[in-house]
Amino acid sequence: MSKHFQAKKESISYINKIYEAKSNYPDWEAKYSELEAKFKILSERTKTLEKVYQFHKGIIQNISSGILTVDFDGIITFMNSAALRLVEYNYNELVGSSMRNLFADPTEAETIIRDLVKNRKMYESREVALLTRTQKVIPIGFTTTVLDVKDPQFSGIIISFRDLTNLQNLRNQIERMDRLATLGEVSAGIAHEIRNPLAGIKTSAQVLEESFSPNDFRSQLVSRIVKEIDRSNELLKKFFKFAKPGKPKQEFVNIESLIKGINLLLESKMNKKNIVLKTNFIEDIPYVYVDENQIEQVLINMLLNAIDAIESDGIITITTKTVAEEDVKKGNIMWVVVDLEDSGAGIAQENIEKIFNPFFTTKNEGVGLGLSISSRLIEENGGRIEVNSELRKGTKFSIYLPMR
Amino acid sequence: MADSKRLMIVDDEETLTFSLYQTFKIVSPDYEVDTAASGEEAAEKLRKVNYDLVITDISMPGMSGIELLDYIKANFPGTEVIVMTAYGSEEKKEEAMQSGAQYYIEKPFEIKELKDLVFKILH
Repeated sequence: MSKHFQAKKESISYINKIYEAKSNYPDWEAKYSELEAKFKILSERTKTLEKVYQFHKGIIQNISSGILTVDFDGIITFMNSAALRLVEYNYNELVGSSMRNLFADPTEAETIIRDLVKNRKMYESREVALLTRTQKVIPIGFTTTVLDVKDPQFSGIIISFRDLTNLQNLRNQIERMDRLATLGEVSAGIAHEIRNPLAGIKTSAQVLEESFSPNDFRSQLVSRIVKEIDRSNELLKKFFKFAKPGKPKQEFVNIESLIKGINLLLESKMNKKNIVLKTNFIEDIPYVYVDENQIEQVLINMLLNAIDAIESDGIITITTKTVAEEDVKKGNIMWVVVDLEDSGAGIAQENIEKIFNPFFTTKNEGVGLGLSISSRLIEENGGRIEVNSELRKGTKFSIYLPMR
Repeated sequence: MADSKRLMIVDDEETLTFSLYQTFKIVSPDYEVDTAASGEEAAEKLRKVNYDLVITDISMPGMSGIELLDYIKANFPGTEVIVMTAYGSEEKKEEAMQSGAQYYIEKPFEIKELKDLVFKILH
């Protein structure tokens, strides 16, 4: 029972006591109207208080920010709906427990609690990660204010916070773009410098090859040199593809047909591993404005990665949806989002951002350029890519594609 | 020599100019082959002798292959130009084509491919 209703119950019992006293009063009839008037006033005040209470409660519970109050021992005294929703707990599970249980990093939790509780330091804007009931790590930004009320029982600290997951994703996206662009420039520079001497070696080797008879072992040796040069050159070409993917030739594309074609192409590969492919396409999916070949390359590559992530007997789910986003400059933007989810090995948190770097790979085969090239191609087409992964549970890539 | 064809290979990569020089000397004794290690050296040679074909790299210190191409187009319209580059992007190809290059070859190339192209241009 809430403190508010406890108080209401108590006031009713006081009123009952007044009526009991009234029956023992010798001059009760004369006092009756006075008591009745007092009761009416009290009732009106209670109603007004109730209205004010409901109004304030409405504000606190409907506000989009999470609000949490703690006493000066760091014990949680209140959490609003937004706060509880974010950490996936019920009110009674957390109120009365230490706030340290909410933080993802125990060391950081101790520092913040010490600052708030002992040093009475207030934070204007601080970022920290919370841990939800289902062990999800959520980045938040919070500010603190002293809750100074007459009743020391309710005094403490107010912590208001916001979920920074979307902002964090956006930041990661921008950082990744910058990083990949720089790496792209470096890669292109290195590839150019290596291809120049390779051209000299290859031409010299081919001139030499022509001077031997085809059966001469020296001819065979030289032909091997040429083959190895060609192999190195193929890798260098991938460097360029990553660095400068080529201007997309954008047109309106039915993404659903494109995905169906790719599924058909990779069907036998999935059957071999006993992978079930599920698709959830929205009805009348809008056309996306992309380079069909480039996005096809991206989707093939990402589906191959999903297949590789599953050892055997797994599920790959491809979902399409439309998402509206508010952009400060462009206003309301509509995206077609392709979610590609696998039930595979998952990616360790510390590797999440590295997977987009060129040459980062956990596979025995492959050079680790697939995802970095895909990311660059999506970016060139005006889209973006997000990733969510849990180790041993699977990975979900969300590919945002522009509609115009 | 009435049928003699004169060509020049321009690149700061000496191994490549040397091997191409040897190649075209072997291909035909009718080819008079010259080399230059820079755009400036090539321009100077062009001012002295008429060349039927210039094979030039794009990226060179000083005068670039594109600048050399512009110079040839402006002053020696009868000279054909093959542009070579170790860049792998379409941008460089477009840049060369916009400057009037009719022939473009990506390094490292197949020697047969270049020989066939040279033969096609000169005959």
